[in-house]
Amino acid sequence: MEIIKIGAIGIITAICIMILKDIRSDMAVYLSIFGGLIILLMVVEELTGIITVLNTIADKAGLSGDFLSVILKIVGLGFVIDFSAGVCEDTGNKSLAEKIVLGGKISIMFVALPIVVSLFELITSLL
Amino acid sequence: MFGIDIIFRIAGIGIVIAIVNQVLKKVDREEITTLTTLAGTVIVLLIVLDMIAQLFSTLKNMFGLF
Repeated sequence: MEIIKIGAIGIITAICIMILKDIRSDMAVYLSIFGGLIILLMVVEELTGIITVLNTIADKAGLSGDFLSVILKIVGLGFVIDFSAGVCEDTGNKSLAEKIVLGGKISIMFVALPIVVSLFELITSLL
Repeated sequence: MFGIDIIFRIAGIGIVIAIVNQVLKKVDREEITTLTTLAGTVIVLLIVLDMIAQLFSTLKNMFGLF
């Protein structure tokens, strides 16, 4: 049922933006930011259930905690990067959005580094 | 304070500001229009920033970022 609400909000926001575009162009930009915000907030609320299930599965499988936390961090970073890059692109400055995406990639790499290190240690210990 | 009604509220603010500016133009008080535009922008910005902060804090708590 949630997806219908999300779709409806998106369409209604797009229509409001169309109305506001010629009267007040800056307010239209705020509206587009707002539509994205509301949809993201609704989606994030649904994610809590998924995360708890993931945690239980990870505990059962005996997976050590930090792998899952790194994965969750990367997903969260993806959320933040996508939202802020989208906002910058909406306001028209595409180069700023690309810089945010670059910064996001670097931060994801930074978060994922310990796993790469532990992978190499695992391989060297096997050899 | 959630969902679709905020979008209508902000659209309403935009339209009201536009109307006020038109009226001010008719009464040839051009200089006040910049003030009303600024006021509208500030109001909308406050609401937007408030929701962005809320989004980022929920993300932070859920994904254990930072």
